[in-house]
Amino acid sequence: MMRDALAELDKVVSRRVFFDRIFKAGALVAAMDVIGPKAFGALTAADKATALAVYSACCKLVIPVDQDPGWATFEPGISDYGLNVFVGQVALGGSQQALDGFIGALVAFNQAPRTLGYNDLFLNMAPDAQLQYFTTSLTGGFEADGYGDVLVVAAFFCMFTAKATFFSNYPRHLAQDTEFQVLQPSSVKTGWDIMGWKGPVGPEEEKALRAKYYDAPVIPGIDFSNPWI
Amino acid sequence: MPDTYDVIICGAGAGGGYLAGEIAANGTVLLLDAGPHIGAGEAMAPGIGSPSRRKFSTQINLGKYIPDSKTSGGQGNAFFAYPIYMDQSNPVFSAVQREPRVVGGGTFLNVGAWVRPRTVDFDGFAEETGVKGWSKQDFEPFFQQCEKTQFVHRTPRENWNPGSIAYEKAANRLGIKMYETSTNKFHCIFCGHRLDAGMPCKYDSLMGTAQTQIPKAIAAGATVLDNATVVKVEITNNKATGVTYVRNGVTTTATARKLVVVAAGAIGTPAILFSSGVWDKNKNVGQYLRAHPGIAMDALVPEPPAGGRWNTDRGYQWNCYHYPLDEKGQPVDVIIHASAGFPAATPWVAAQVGFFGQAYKDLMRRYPQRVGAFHFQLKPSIYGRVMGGVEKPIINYPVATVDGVLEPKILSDFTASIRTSARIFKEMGAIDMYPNPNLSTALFNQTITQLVTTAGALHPQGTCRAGASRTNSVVDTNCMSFDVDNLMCCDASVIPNHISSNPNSMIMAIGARAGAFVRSSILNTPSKNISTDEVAQ
Ligand SMILES: Cc1cc2nc3c(=O)[nH]c(=O)nc-3n(C[C@H](O)[C@H](O)[C@H](O)COP(=O)(O)OP(=O)(O)OC[C@H]3O[C@@H](n4cnc5c(N)ncnc54)[C@H](O)[C@@H]3O)c2cc1C
Repeated sequence: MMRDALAELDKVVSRRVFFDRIFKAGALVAAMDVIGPKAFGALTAADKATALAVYSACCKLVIPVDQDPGWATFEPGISDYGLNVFVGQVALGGSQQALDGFIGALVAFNQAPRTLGYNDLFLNMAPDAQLQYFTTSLTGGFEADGYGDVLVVAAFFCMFTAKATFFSNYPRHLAQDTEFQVLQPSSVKTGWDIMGWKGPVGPEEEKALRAKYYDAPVIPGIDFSNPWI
Repeated sequence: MPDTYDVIICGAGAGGGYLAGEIAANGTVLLLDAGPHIGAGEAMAPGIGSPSRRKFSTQINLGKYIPDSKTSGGQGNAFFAYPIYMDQSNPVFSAVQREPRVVGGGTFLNVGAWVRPRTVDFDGFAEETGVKGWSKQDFEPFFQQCEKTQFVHRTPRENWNPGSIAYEKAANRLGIKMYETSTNKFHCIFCGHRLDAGMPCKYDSLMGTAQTQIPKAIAAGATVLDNATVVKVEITNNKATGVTYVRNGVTTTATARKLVVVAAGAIGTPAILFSSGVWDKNKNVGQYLRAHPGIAMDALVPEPPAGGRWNTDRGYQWNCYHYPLDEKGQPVDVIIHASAGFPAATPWVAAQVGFFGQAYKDLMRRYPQRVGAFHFQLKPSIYGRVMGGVEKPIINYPVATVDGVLEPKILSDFTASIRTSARIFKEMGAIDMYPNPNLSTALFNQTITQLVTTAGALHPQGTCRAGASRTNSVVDTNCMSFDVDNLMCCDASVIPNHISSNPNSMIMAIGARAGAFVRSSILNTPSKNISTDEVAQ
């Protein structure tokens, strides 16, 4: 039955188009093409190690260390978490195929500079050159070179997930199985500390909020001044 | 436990959960859901929260990955996420939002914005599938009923988020009409957490079906089984006779004397029908997937109103909304939920601003709380599709072409809506925003494309739509299958054509309407309905 369904689906959108039509997946499929048949479950350990190193290098560009901690402060754990948990589970919905595609995109991101005038692997480039290459990739500057989608998707996912991971309070980001989530004391500033975010509602604040709002007046119903509903 | 019921409902979300509460007093009901029933048996305590729900729902964007618990690096089985109660619904990467797996479904963890569809949507139902009995007038009593059971209300401005008030004022100065957003909450204490939707309400204030209709069903004698994944509707001689489900590794078949209702959501329902062989009879199962691509817009407005912070407490809620208008004064197909000084601690929001490096980090230090607006494109010119069974549904929602070019209507509608919000943010004194319409056209388009394809399309609907005939749809006006007797669908999947609002109100109204039909025509009982107030309060 599944085969029938896929045949039916093929009539509407061919397998290739099925993937390609979805932009993200399209880019990831293109990444698989770049690195060849290794993708789809057959990535080598070396590919995975390269991808993690590229991910880490990109995230360090996104969240530098300054007077406060940055991405590098929390290595090596943060890159592993960012790539395998945040990208893999949250951004890519737990799809191993998609994660393999992204890993392929990161490997391609490392290799592509050789053919784009930098004459070296991304991981071997000086930080300034890495920054320039990352920025050009992110803004679609290599679109004419046949790698466009792959490089944009690699750079964009790195940027997006680095920010999301760092400013979600890594490494104090895990739920405590308690009624009031208590943040563990830490001598190192986290993303939340940097923002001055007050963290979870504690017992006192909860009491104060309840005193203020529990019986707050409401206006029943909906707003019929909207002429379109 | 008996294994025979009058009605078996597969899925306890907006549609199935609502329906259960409407019919449980009139017959024996089994309600099955693939997800956990958090706080089952504990008293409901709006504004306070039952012990389990308080523990389960932390105040930050954290959660448990259920049921796979796949993590790495010894991080345990908990991590922050956006709707994470997902197991098998999305094995193939797709641009459609994943669905929750929890008793209450989407209503257990959504934002709680209660918005009615536009009038044109009801006209569009009949135009699309010829369905009868789905006019605005037909649905009016059911919306009113749901608005009562779900405590739907607006918040007076004194408790609005300062960002909402500032946005509304700026819009009004520009002659842009705003409308107040209603919400389905009770004794809300404004913890600000709802904008981090994806986690249940710690305080039981969000009036989902797990707080209202499902307890009402249980009080009336319904049996609720959680962690029970329906794998198949049993069909004999073209009649639905029961349901096979897997719970804790044990496969069980329960018998339905009168009706099987599939209410597993717009992805889950076609998957169950597929596994049950209904797709073999009607190829419209899983067709016509509609969804709402979403974009969060983020602005830096240095001066908070009245000298305070943007979020004097935690940041409240979406308080007001509008549709951008075209040059003829007609709404463009986008709804903009303006408001909220977004707490920038939400990873998704923190991640929005389009730059990185030192400048980004400085910005996070200087503007931890920013003003935002969420844009939903309501009517993309595309259909998606769900194929495959419960084991492995495949979702295809083609928001972009082979070359990565965004569907033109999504692009043009978002371009219009972002320009409108940008004018309002500028009027508020914004110094920067993202996406920024002042970018070059190529970069602006690329930004929108990236946001649409990474944020995904939300609110899936229409995959087993109601219509006039089996040639173009799956269920009839009463949500009864054209192809199998005693089989009903009751959730987002039956919506005949995409609607212009967040869908919860429409789906619950569908549940209420289906309830009236089941009581009168299936259970043949006069309306005997206990009051929700008796249970929820
Ligand atoms: C994070 C988030 C925020 C949202 N915010 C809003 C908002 O503010 N306003 C609004 O109007 N809408 C909002 N929505 C959308 C709204 O919640 C959904 O559209 C609505 O809940 C869908 O209702 P449904 O009955 O179709 O499906 P659901 O509510 O998803 O219910 C389906 C149920 O079926 C169960 N199920 C699935 N497969 C199986 C199976 N095989 N066996 C047994 N059970 C199964 C699931 O566990 C689930 O409980 C939001 C959704 C999400 C995810």
